[in-house]
Amino acid sequence: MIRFGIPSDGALHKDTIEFLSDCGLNIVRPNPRSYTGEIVDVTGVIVHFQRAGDITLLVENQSLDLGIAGYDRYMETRDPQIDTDVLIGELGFGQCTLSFAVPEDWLDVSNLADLSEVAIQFRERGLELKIATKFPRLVSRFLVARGVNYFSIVPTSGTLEAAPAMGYADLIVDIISSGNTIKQNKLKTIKGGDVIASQACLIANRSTIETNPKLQTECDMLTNAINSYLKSRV
Amino acid sequence: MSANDRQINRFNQMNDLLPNQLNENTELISTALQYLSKSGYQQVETPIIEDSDLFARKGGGELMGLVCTFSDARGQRVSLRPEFTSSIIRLYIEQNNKQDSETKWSYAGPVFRYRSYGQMVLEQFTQVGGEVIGDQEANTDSELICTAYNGLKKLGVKNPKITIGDAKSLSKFFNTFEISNPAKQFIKSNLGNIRSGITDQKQLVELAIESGLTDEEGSATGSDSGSKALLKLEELSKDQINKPLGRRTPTEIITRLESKGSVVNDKNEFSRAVDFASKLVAINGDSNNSLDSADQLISIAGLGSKFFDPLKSLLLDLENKGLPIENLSLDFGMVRGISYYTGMIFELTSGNDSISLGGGGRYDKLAANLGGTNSNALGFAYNIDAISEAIK
Repeated sequence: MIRFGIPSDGALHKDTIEFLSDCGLNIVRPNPRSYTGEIVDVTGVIVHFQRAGDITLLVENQSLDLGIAGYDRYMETRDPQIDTDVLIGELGFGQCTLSFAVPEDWLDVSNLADLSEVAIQFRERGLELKIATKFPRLVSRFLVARGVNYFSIVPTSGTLEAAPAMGYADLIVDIISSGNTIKQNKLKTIKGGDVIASQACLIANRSTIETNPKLQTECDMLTNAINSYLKSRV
Repeated sequence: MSANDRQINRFNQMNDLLPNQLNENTELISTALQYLSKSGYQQVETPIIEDSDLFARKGGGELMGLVCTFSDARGQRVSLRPEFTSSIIRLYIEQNNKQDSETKWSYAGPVFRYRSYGQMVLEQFTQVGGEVIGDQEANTDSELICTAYNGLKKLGVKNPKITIGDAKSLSKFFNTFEISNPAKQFIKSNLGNIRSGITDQKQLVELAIESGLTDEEGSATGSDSGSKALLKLEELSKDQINKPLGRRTPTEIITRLESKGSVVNDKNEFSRAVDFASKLVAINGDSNNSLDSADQLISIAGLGSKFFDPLKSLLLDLENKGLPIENLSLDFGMVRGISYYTGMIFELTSGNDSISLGGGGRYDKLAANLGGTNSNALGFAYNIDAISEAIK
């Protein structure tokens, strides 16, 4: 049976269930606390409800064969040495942007170039610009490629928006949808500060699927159902 | 469950050493340390695990992308050392060594790095090296390079090669263009991508526009000034509780806001800097030919004929000290740790297959950046595992 992981929490959970239903893949969960489920009238697939942030790792370590994950989280946690791939990149839901947000009263900082100069000023004072984020790899790569070299990442798992006010970071890089939460916390985005545009995507471990014809058949069934629905929306 | 399901394997790139190989490596380490001792270095030892800020402060995001970092039991960010230099300088600062005496320390031990930026393969290899801190002699650069080069021959490497770059020339080069510090840093960070063709000049300029370093109209926008800025300053100062500024003061913010208008990153000037940087980093090879090419480029850019005199002086010094010039090449695009080297940089390779065996350079600002006083410093390290393979 093919093991199909879908997010068990957050906004992605509800949107994933609705999306799959639109694709004709109705998920049934025996009870709200169950970690497994199935697809109505579809055999050969076992659905696993997992934390959205864990799905990429579970696909990589072959605990799942394929899964729905946010593209941002996939790009952050994936190991390029492992044969995990994006099968369908844009499922059309869960859109958001990973962006920089600085205190709104940093009147002199309106773009990434300004931030670069502030980072240099901090270094001259013997400090590093402290950046709170749940995406340390993506943010580090983004900054180094743009010449912002002197910073330190404060890995954070909780609420990021309060970090500058509480003083454990100077700024944050967080998922921004409407921007209301940022404004309410006296923060603002900056030009050139969008790290990655993300939405839900379908990922798979190619080395497990392609070496097993039965799994390949079941995977093809799922991707065909999804692709048919996506084509019908165009 | 089969027996194989219970077997725990070592990680790739973390190598076991069987008795014969271990004996060979131990012999190499011992020979290298004895050689350094005869060259005036005293051996010290530093911990394998250090505060992550030590490496972040040294090399910023560029270095941290290669470092294995995790939280200890108290939640403090700690790292497995990716190299020894930061720890040696930290030790030097803690020992309050005087500036007027030269300190020469050697070291040996394992270091840990991810193979390349952002990759997941963690490697362990053994380094042996030496650092010279507080040097006052004009010819310490050439002395260190010769020590490093001749040491390789002592270790059995046949016909080693040495490639020299110069972070100072590169900085001087960028300072001749009228672009801001962030713009210079931006171009420097992308030198490797320019040279390897991952990024072309047009893409780089587009990325710079996206970041706000320059714009299509060609100059930075103007800033608030005069009474408006003063009003903002008053407002910021009063409302610190509800509108925290973090570690920036209202004065810093307003001062920078007022000066923003005078920071002109003219698109043409920025593009000119990218163009000349691209041509400079492409120059590498035989030292005489490379210098000729670099001199021609500098002449076209109108930067003066004495631009590379310090580098020429170093090469003459090396030749006088007996370094075989046919084994020496220049590389103006050498970007090894470009953010913390302040002068000459060099890489040592095997003669036949150009495998990196080690390298080093000058990093005069590191002690100050790590909280100490200004101290000249330079050093090098061998990769013992690579040398062991090279001499087989």
